[in-house]
Amino acid sequence: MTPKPSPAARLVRAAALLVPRESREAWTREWIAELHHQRRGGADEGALALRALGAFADAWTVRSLAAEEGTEEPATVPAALRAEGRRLAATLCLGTAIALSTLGTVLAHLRPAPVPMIALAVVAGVALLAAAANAARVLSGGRTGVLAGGVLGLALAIGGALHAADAVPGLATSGGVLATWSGTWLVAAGLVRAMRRPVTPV
Amino acid sequence: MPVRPNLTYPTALVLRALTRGAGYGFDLMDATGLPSGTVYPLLRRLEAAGCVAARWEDEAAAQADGRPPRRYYEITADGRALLLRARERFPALDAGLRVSPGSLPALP
Repeated sequence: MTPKPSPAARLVRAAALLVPRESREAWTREWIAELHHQRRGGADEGALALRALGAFADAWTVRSLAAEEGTEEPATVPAALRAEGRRLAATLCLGTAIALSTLGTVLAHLRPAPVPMIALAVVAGVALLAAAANAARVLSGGRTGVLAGGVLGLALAIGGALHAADAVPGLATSGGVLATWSGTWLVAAGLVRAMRRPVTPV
Repeated sequence: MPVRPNLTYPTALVLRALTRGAGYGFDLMDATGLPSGTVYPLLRRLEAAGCVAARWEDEAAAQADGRPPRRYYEITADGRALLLRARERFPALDAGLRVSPGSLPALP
């Protein structure tokens, strides 16, 4: 059975992910060797973990130096944060859009229908779904998200309007449900595909 | 573009500690009192600037002792020149080290 890695070793291995691949093995070996020697000298695990925290600053320095020397693509913290931020924004938009469009569909089933609520839900749903679709487009670099958001928004708006006008209740309700779920799945599929793509620094 | 290390007090401390002979990262932390997040980045920059040279300990010797080999750092001629400039800026440099004064070789 493989011995469980110490907290300090875990920290070092996590920090190693910042180190350029070509020097990662040697870099990790140096840190693990130092930890080994300290442990043999009687250092406790807490003190070792504290020292291992410095591995992150070291790893970042190695990465920056590699970038300065041109052996590694420069990657800045803001770029990484921006990429993560876009993903988070897309996920939040999608989640809110799903919640609101589902609320709109539920409201559309109520009798008597609270018309102002339906209209509000439809408008908010369309706006947020368009935002989610746009986020999916940004992430995937394709037009699928925009198309999905557009089709869904249009269908939802027509369904909501028909229902609000009580013109063809059955059609409106079915249209609303269909639009909500098909649109949600389309946008979700676009987002999942985008998430699987490697993040490139911007 | 060559890396130019900043002539800071921690840089001077690390270089001065290295004048005792080859040292490894955690040894330098003990000698200078600086944390790992300061010492290692300094060593990387000094190495990139040619002020410090690094070498791996002989693997066979380490294995015979039942331990992994360590990476040792040594001050180079460029590093010594930088240290002499640093000493002008930080005259009480030796007092900042946590080593016995007798273990520090005299600087020209």
